[in-house]
Amino acid sequence: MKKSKKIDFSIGIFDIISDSIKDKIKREASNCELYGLGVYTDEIVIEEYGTYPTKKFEDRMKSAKQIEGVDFVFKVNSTDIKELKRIIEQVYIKVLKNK
Amino acid sequence: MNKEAKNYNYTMGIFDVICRAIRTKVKDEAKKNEVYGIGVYTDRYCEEELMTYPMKRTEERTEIARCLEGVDFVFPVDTKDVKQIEEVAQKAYLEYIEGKKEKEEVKKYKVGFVLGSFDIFHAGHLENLMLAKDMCDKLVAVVKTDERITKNKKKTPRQSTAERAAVLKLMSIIDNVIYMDLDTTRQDLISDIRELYSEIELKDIVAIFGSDLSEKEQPFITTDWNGINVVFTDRNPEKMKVVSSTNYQNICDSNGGIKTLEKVETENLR
Repeated sequence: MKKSKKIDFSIGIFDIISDSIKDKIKREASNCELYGLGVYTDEIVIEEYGTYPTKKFEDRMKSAKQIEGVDFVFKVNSTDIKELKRIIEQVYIKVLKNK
Repeated sequence: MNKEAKNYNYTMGIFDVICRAIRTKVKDEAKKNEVYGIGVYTDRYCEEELMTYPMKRTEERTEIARCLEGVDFVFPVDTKDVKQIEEVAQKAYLEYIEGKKEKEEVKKYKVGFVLGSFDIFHAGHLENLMLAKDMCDKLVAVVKTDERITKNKKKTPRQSTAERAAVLKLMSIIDNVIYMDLDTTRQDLISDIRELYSEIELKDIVAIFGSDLSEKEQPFITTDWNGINVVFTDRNPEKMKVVSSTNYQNICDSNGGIKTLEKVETENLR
Protein backbone atom coordinates (compact mmCIF):
# COMPACT_ATOMS: atom_id res chain seq x y z
CA MET A 1 0.00 0.00 0.00
CA LYS A 2 1.34 3.39 -0.94
CA LYS A 3 2.13 5.56 2.06
CA SER A 4 0.51 9.00 2.07
CA LYS A 5 3.69 10.80 3.14
CA LYS A 6 7.32 10.36 2.29
CA ILE A 7 8.64 11.56 5.66
CA ASP A 8 7.13 12.88 8.89
CA PHE A 9 7.98 13.39 12.55
CA SER A 10 6.74 14.19 16.06
CA ILE A 11 8.55 15.93 18.91
CA GLY A 12 8.25 15.08 22.56
CA ILE A 13 9.85 14.28 25.89
CA PHE A 14 9.69 10.44 25.82
CA ASP A 15 10.54 10.01 29.48
CA ILE A 16 7.85 7.49 30.40
CA ILE A 17 6.28 5.96 27.32
CA SER A 18 2.79 4.56 27.77
CA ASP A 19 0.94 2.20 25.45
CA SER A 20 -1.22 5.04 24.16
CA ILE A 21 1.90 7.01 23.19
CA LYS A 22 3.26 3.93 21.38
CA ASP A 23 -0.09 3.41 19.61
CA LYS A 24 -0.22 7.02 18.47
CA ILE A 25 3.30 6.84 17.08
CA LYS A 26 2.60 3.54 15.37
CA ARG A 27 -0.50 5.03 13.75
CA GLU A 28 1.33 8.11 12.55
CA ALA A 29 4.31 6.09 11.35
CA SER A 30 2.09 3.79 9.30
CA ASN A 31 1.12 6.75 7.10
CA CYS A 32 4.63 7.55 5.94
CA GLU A 33 7.66 5.89 4.47
CA LEU A 34 10.04 7.38 7.00
CA TYR A 35 9.02 8.42 10.48
CA GLY A 36 11.16 10.13 13.09
CA LEU A 37 10.94 11.40 16.65
CA GLY A 38 12.53 14.58 17.94
CA VAL A 39 13.58 14.29 21.58
CA TYR A 40 13.85 17.38 23.76
CA THR A 41 17.15 17.78 25.62
CA ASP A 42 17.17 17.67 29.43
CA GLU A 43 17.65 21.46 29.53
CA ILE A 44 14.58 22.10 27.37
CA VAL A 45 12.47 19.65 29.39
CA ILE A 46 13.39 21.37 32.66
CA GLU A 47 13.33 24.94 31.37
CA GLU A 48 10.30 24.82 29.08
CA TYR A 49 8.17 21.96 30.34
CA GLY A 50 8.60 22.22 34.11
CA THR A 51 9.54 18.62 34.78
CA TYR A 52 12.76 16.88 35.75
CA PRO A 53 13.15 13.89 33.42
CA THR A 54 13.61 10.59 35.23
CA LYS A 55 15.75 9.34 32.32
CA LYS A 56 18.71 11.18 30.86
CA PHE A 57 18.55 12.50 27.29
CA GLU A 58 20.58 9.63 25.80
CA ASP A 59 18.28 7.04 27.37
CA ARG A 60 15.19 8.89 26.20
CA MET A 61 16.64 8.92 22.66
CA LYS A 62 17.18 5.13 22.91
CA SER A 63 13.62 4.56 24.21
CA ALA A 64 12.16 6.67 21.39
CA LYS A 65 14.18 4.80 18.75
CA GLN A 66 12.88 1.45 20.03
CA ILE A 67 9.22 2.36 19.48
CA GLU A 68 7.64 0.37 16.65
CA GLY A 69 7.55 2.31 13.39
CA VAL A 70 10.29 4.77 14.29
CA ASP A 71 13.06 5.01 11.69
CA PHE A 72 15.15 7.83 13.08
CA VAL A 73 15.47 10.04 16.16
CA PHE A 74 16.98 13.48 16.53
CA LYS A 75 17.93 15.94 19.23
CA VAL A 76 15.75 19.01 19.81
CA ASN A 77 17.42 21.74 21.83
CA SER A 78 15.06 24.64 21.11
CA THR A 79 11.38 25.50 21.11
CA ASP A 80 11.84 28.47 18.81
CA ILE A 81 9.87 27.86 15.60
CA LYS A 82 12.61 29.19 13.29
CA GLU A 83 15.27 27.09 15.00
CA LEU A 84 13.00 24.04 14.95
CA LYS A 85 12.53 24.44 11.20
CA ARG A 86 16.30 24.59 10.77
CA ILE A 87 16.81 21.45 12.89
CA ILE A 88 14.16 19.49 11.00
CA GLU A 89 15.48 20.61 7.61
CA GLN A 90 18.95 19.33 8.50
CA VAL A 91 17.55 16.05 9.83
CA TYR A 92 15.47 15.51 6.68
CA ILE A 93 18.49 16.12 4.44
CA LYS A 94 20.60 13.66 6.43
CA VAL A 95 17.92 10.94 6.60
CA LEU A 96 16.94 11.14 2.95
CA LYS A 97 20.60 11.14 1.87
CA ASN A 98 21.28 7.97 3.85
CA LYS A 99 18.18 6.18 2.60
CA MET B 1 6.81 29.30 27.88
CA ASN B 2 5.72 32.74 29.02
CA LYS B 3 2.81 34.76 27.76
CA GLU B 4 2.51 38.45 28.36
CA ALA B 5 -0.87 39.64 29.54
CA LYS B 6 -2.21 42.88 30.91
CA ASN B 7 -2.05 42.42 34.68
CA TYR B 8 -0.52 39.01 35.08
CA ASN B 9 1.83 36.53 33.54
CA TYR B 10 2.13 32.77 33.59
CA THR B 11 4.30 29.76 32.84
CA MET B 12 3.14 26.36 31.67
CA GLY B 13 4.56 22.98 32.51
CA ILE B 14 4.06 19.43 33.75
CA PHE B 15 5.23 19.82 37.37
CA ASP B 16 5.31 16.15 38.29
CA VAL B 17 8.97 15.88 39.23
CA ILE B 18 10.31 19.29 40.18
CA CYS B 19 13.89 20.31 40.79
CA ARG B 20 15.77 23.37 42.04
CA ALA B 21 16.09 24.84 38.54
CA ILE B 22 12.32 24.67 38.01
CA ARG B 23 11.60 26.23 41.42
CA THR B 24 14.15 28.98 40.83
CA LYS B 25 12.74 29.77 37.41
CA VAL B 26 9.19 30.04 38.74
CA LYS B 27 10.33 32.15 41.70
CA ASP B 28 12.33 34.52 39.49
CA GLU B 29 9.50 34.90 36.99
CA ALA B 30 7.00 35.48 39.80
CA LYS B 31 9.16 38.29 41.20
CA LYS B 32 8.91 40.12 37.88
CA ASN B 33 5.12 40.08 37.94
CA GLU B 34 2.51 41.43 40.29
CA VAL B 35 0.34 38.36 39.84
CA TYR B 36 1.77 35.11 38.58
CA GLY B 37 0.10 31.88 37.53
CA ILE B 38 0.99 28.41 36.34
CA GLY B 39 -0.71 26.42 33.62
CA VAL B 40 -0.49 22.69 34.28
CA TYR B 41 -0.64 20.41 31.26
CA THR B 42 -3.38 17.80 31.67
CA ASP B 43 -2.60 14.09 31.65
CA ARG B 44 -4.09 13.84 28.17
CA TYR B 45 -1.99 16.71 26.85
CA CYS B 46 1.21 15.24 28.33
CA GLU B 47 0.62 11.94 26.58
CA GLU B 48 -0.74 13.15 23.28
CA GLU B 49 1.20 16.34 22.72
CA LEU B 50 4.34 16.08 24.84
CA MET B 51 4.77 12.33 24.39
CA THR B 52 5.42 11.50 28.00
CA TYR B 53 3.33 9.82 30.65
CA PRO B 54 3.35 12.08 33.73
CA MET B 55 4.55 10.57 37.00
CA LYS B 56 1.60 12.08 38.89
CA ARG B 57 -2.01 12.83 37.99
CA THR B 58 -3.17 16.33 36.96
CA GLU B 59 -4.79 17.02 40.36
CA GLU B 60 -1.60 16.26 42.27
CA ARG B 61 0.59 18.17 39.83
CA THR B 62 -1.76 21.14 40.11
CA GLU B 63 -1.32 21.14 43.89
CA ILE B 64 2.48 20.93 43.52
CA ALA B 65 2.39 23.95 41.17
CA ARG B 66 0.04 25.88 43.45
CA CYS B 67 2.48 25.51 46.35
CA LEU B 68 5.55 26.74 44.43
CA GLU B 69 6.93 29.99 45.82
CA GLY B 70 5.45 33.06 44.14
CA VAL B 71 2.54 31.29 42.46
CA ASP B 72 -0.82 33.02 42.87
CA PHE B 73 -3.10 30.92 40.69
CA VAL B 74 -3.10 27.71 38.66
CA PHE B 75 -5.13 26.48 35.70
CA PRO B 76 -5.25 23.39 33.47
CA VAL B 77 -3.82 23.44 29.95
CA ASP B 78 -5.41 20.93 27.60
CA THR B 79 -4.83 22.58 24.23
CA LYS B 80 -2.20 24.10 21.97
CA ASP B 81 -4.58 26.89 21.02
CA VAL B 82 -3.12 30.09 22.44
CA LYS B 83 -6.50 31.85 22.47
CA GLN B 84 -8.11 29.08 24.49
CA ILE B 85 -5.18 28.99 26.91
CA GLU B 86 -5.47 32.75 27.39
CA GLU B 87 -9.20 32.38 28.15
CA VAL B 88 -8.62 29.72 30.83
CA ALA B 89 -5.74 31.70 32.33
CA GLN B 90 -7.82 34.88 32.41
CA LYS B 91 -10.67 33.04 34.17
CA ALA B 92 -8.28 31.61 36.80
CA TYR B 93 -6.72 35.06 37.27
CA LEU B 94 -10.13 36.70 37.83
CA GLU B 95 -11.12 33.98 40.32
CA TYR B 96 -7.87 34.60 42.19
CA ILE B 97 -8.53 38.37 42.31
CA GLU B 98 -12.11 37.76 43.48
CA GLY B 99 -10.94 35.36 46.21
CA LYS B 100 -8.29 37.84 47.33
CA LYS B 101 -10.90 40.58 47.63
CA GLU B 102 -13.14 38.32 49.71
CA LYS B 103 -10.25 37.46 52.03
CA GLU B 104 -9.41 41.12 52.47
CA GLU B 105 -12.99 41.88 53.45
CA VAL B 106 -13.85 41.88 57.14
CA LYS B 107 -14.15 38.32 58.39
CA LYS B 108 -17.58 37.22 59.54
CA TYR B 109 -16.54 36.20 63.08
CA LYS B 110 -13.93 37.54 65.47
CA VAL B 111 -12.91 34.20 66.92
CA GLY B 112 -13.41 30.71 65.57
CA PHE B 113 -12.40 27.37 66.96
CA VAL B 114 -11.97 23.89 65.54
CA LEU B 115 -12.28 21.03 67.97
CA GLY B 116 -10.65 17.69 67.36
CA SER B 117 -8.16 14.97 68.16
CA PHE B 118 -5.89 15.80 65.18
CA ASP B 119 -4.45 12.32 65.59
CA ILE B 120 -2.00 11.89 62.68
CA PHE B 121 -2.46 15.32 61.10
CA HIS B 122 -3.50 15.04 57.43
CA ALA B 123 -4.59 17.08 54.40
CA GLY B 124 -8.27 16.91 55.46
CA HIS B 125 -7.46 18.56 58.81
CA LEU B 126 -5.55 21.26 56.94
CA GLU B 127 -8.37 21.90 54.47
CA ASN B 128 -10.84 22.24 57.33
CA LEU B 129 -8.57 24.64 59.24
CA MET B 130 -8.02 26.77 56.14
CA LEU B 131 -11.76 27.01 55.50
CA ALA B 132 -12.18 27.92 59.17
CA LYS B 133 -9.54 30.64 58.96
CA ASP B 134 -11.46 32.26 56.10
CA MET B 135 -14.37 32.83 58.47
CA CYS B 136 -12.65 34.39 61.47
CA ASP B 137 -9.97 36.87 62.49
CA LYS B 138 -8.49 34.58 65.13
CA LEU B 139 -8.47 30.81 64.90
CA VAL B 140 -8.15 28.55 67.91
CA ALA B 141 -7.39 24.84 67.65
CA VAL B 142 -8.90 22.88 70.50
CA VAL B 143 -7.05 19.61 71.10
CA LYS B 144 -8.68 16.77 72.98
CA THR B 145 -6.22 15.28 75.47
CA ASP B 146 -5.24 11.60 75.47
CA GLU B 147 -7.31 10.94 78.59
CA ARG B 148 -10.42 12.55 77.12
CA ILE B 149 -10.14 10.51 73.91
CA THR B 150 -9.55 7.31 75.87
CA LYS B 151 -12.51 7.99 78.15
CA ASN B 152 -15.03 9.10 75.49
CA LYS B 153 -14.01 7.08 72.47
CA LYS B 154 -12.61 4.05 74.28
CA LYS B 155 -9.49 4.17 72.14
CA THR B 156 -5.93 5.42 72.50
CA PRO B 157 -4.67 8.10 70.13
CA ARG B 158 -1.68 7.14 67.95
CA GLN B 159 0.11 10.37 68.83
CA SER B 160 0.31 11.87 72.30
CA THR B 161 -1.41 15.08 73.41
CA ALA B 162 1.91 16.92 73.25
CA GLU B 163 2.73 15.70 69.74
CA ARG B 164 -0.72 16.55 68.42
CA ALA B 165 -0.69 20.02 69.97
CA ALA B 166 2.87 20.78 68.83
CA VAL B 167 1.98 20.29 65.16
CA LEU B 168 -0.90 22.77 65.45
CA LYS B 169 1.07 25.26 67.52
CA LEU B 170 3.60 25.69 64.70
CA MET B 171 0.97 26.40 62.05
CA SER B 172 0.82 30.04 60.97
CA ILE B 173 -2.96 30.05 60.41
CA ILE B 174 -3.59 29.05 64.03
CA ASP B 175 -3.47 31.82 66.60
CA ASN B 176 -3.90 29.70 69.73
CA VAL B 177 -3.98 26.07 70.78
CA ILE B 178 -5.90 25.05 73.88
CA TYR B 179 -6.71 21.69 75.40
CA MET B 180 -10.05 20.10 76.01
CA ASP B 181 -9.18 17.77 78.84
CA LEU B 182 -10.91 15.12 80.88
CA ASP B 183 -13.42 17.34 82.69
CA THR B 184 -13.73 20.32 80.32
CA THR B 185 -17.34 20.88 79.31
CA ARG B 186 -18.37 22.73 76.19
CA GLN B 187 -19.42 25.68 78.37
CA ASP B 188 -15.94 25.63 79.97
CA LEU B 189 -14.41 25.69 76.53
CA ILE B 190 -16.36 28.81 75.59
CA SER B 191 -15.20 30.43 78.86
CA ASP B 192 -11.59 29.49 78.07
CA ILE B 193 -11.85 31.14 74.67
CA ARG B 194 -13.46 34.26 76.13
CA GLU B 195 -10.58 34.46 78.59
CA LEU B 196 -8.14 34.40 75.69
CA TYR B 197 -9.99 37.20 73.90
CA SER B 198 -11.59 39.18 76.69
CA GLU B 199 -13.24 41.78 74.46
CA ILE B 200 -15.40 39.31 72.52
CA GLU B 201 -19.07 38.52 72.99
CA LEU B 202 -20.76 35.16 72.42
CA LYS B 203 -22.09 36.31 69.04
CA ASP B 204 -18.50 36.91 67.89
CA ILE B 205 -17.50 33.27 68.44
CA VAL B 206 -17.99 30.44 65.97
CA ALA B 207 -17.52 26.71 66.44
CA ILE B 208 -16.41 25.19 63.15
CA PHE B 209 -16.96 21.53 62.33
CA GLY B 210 -16.43 19.41 59.27
CA SER B 211 -19.65 18.66 57.40
CA ASP B 212 -19.31 14.97 58.38
CA LEU B 213 -20.23 16.01 61.94
CA SER B 214 -23.33 17.96 60.90
CA GLU B 215 -25.83 15.29 61.93
CA LYS B 216 -24.06 14.51 65.20
CA GLU B 217 -23.69 18.14 66.28
CA GLN B 218 -27.09 19.49 65.23
CA PRO B 219 -28.85 18.56 68.52
CA PHE B 220 -26.20 20.43 70.55
CA ILE B 221 -26.40 23.74 68.69
CA THR B 222 -29.09 25.18 70.97
CA THR B 223 -28.03 23.34 74.12
CA ASP B 224 -24.27 22.92 74.60
CA TRP B 225 -23.28 25.63 72.13
CA ASN B 226 -26.00 27.98 73.24
CA GLY B 227 -25.20 31.56 72.31
CA ILE B 228 -22.31 31.02 69.94
CA ASN B 229 -22.45 30.35 66.21
CA VAL B 230 -22.00 26.86 64.80
CA VAL B 231 -20.87 26.38 61.20
CA PHE B 232 -20.11 23.27 59.17
CA THR B 233 -17.42 23.57 56.50
CA ASP B 234 -18.32 22.58 52.98
CA ARG B 235 -15.93 19.88 51.84
CA ASN B 236 -16.07 17.22 49.16
CA PRO B 237 -17.73 14.17 50.83
CA GLU B 238 -15.98 11.67 48.54
CA LYS B 239 -12.58 13.16 49.33
CA MET B 240 -13.44 13.20 53.03
CA LYS B 241 -14.07 9.46 52.96
CA VAL B 242 -10.58 8.84 51.58
CA VAL B 243 -8.58 11.53 53.40
CA SER B 244 -9.83 10.63 56.85
CA SER B 245 -8.28 10.02 60.26
CA THR B 246 -9.86 6.57 60.40
CA ASN B 247 -8.15 5.57 57.14
CA TYR B 248 -4.74 6.86 58.19
CA GLN B 249 -5.06 5.32 61.63
CA ASN B 250 -5.96 1.98 60.07
CA ILE B 251 -2.96 2.15 57.73
CA CYS B 252 -0.76 2.99 60.70
CA ASP B 253 -2.19 0.16 62.83
CA SER B 254 -1.89 -2.38 60.02
CA ASN B 255 1.86 -1.72 60.01
CA GLY B 256 2.23 -2.31 63.73
CA GLY B 257 1.53 1.23 64.93
CA ILE B 258 3.65 4.37 65.14
CA LYS B 259 5.90 3.10 67.95
CA THR B 260 6.86 0.06 65.85
CA LEU B 261 7.57 2.25 62.83
CA GLU B 262 9.71 4.59 64.93
CA LYS B 263 11.60 1.59 66.30
CA VAL B 264 12.24 0.24 62.79
CA GLU B 265 13.45 3.64 61.59
CA THR B 266 15.76 4.09 64.57
CA GLU B 267 17.20 0.60 64.13
CA ASN B 268 17.85 1.29 60.46
CA LEU B 269 19.86 4.36 61.40
CA ARG B 270 22.26 2.34 63.52
